[in-house]
Amino acid sequence: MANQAIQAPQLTLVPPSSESTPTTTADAKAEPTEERSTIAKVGIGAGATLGLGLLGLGIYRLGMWAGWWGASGIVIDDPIRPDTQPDDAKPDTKPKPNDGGGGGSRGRASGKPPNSSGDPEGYNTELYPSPAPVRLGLKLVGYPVPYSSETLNPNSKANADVTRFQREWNRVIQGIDSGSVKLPSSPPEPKWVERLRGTLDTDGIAGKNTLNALEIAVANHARNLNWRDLVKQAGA
Amino acid sequence: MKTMPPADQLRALGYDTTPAEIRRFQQAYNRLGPERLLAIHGELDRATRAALALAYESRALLSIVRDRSEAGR
Repeated sequence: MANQAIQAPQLTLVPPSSESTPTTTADAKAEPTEERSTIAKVGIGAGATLGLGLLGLGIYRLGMWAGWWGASGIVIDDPIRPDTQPDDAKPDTKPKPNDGGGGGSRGRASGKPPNSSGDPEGYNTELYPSPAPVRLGLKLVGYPVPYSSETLNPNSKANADVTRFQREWNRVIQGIDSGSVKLPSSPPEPKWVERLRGTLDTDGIAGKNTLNALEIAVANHARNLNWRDLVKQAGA
Repeated sequence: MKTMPPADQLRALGYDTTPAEIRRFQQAYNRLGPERLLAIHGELDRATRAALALAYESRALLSIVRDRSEAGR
């Protein structure tokens, strides 16, 4: 009875070696105490190592969640990113008034830039009633388009400066996720920093998503941070 | 679209209609980097009226910039 209890962990925890495995019942009876002690030590050691590892991992994850390791309020680390579909897979038709793109634990480089105005047209029609303010917005954040009333996309042709803005926007958003772009921890208007999220098609067309991104870039540039600095940090 | 009179556009943009204020608008407009710069003469000529219309369309965006300068940033 005692031998059965001793041999059970030997089968489950440690693979039997040819040296220590008793070959006969007599052998098993001859060295019961030493076998039990070695196996137990190995088992306890393995269990303790595993337990400590799990405890350490748990504390590390708790620290990440609580910001003990110096993380800012920026969401940069989230392995769960279900929304990884391409830029235009999902049209931005549903207005999300002042949602700031959500404050959850998802990375910023998912979905589209939020429609900050909540305008049912899908972008801020008060801010952008015509091409002139779009051009002015681009100029304000460092893209050298002439300030005029001409459309940026005559005959739906891509505009190089719009493409550059779209590309740099994407790099900035991805840089925030990766940690290469640092955002101010206490900006004057945090809602605009929160809205730095979502990616754009780099098609050179100043569409709704691009106008929403431009509004966010301009508002941040005017109130919280320098857009060119973010672009520089992103290495774009 | 109904066009607002230039004097009203000036006021909506935060300027008065005096020659000094029109000059101030012309200088501010030129700083925006238009395709053609305005002559600074304090008169509401054709080019200035066209510039006013453009700036008036952009007034919501310009107010963001104005907020910034008022805050001393």
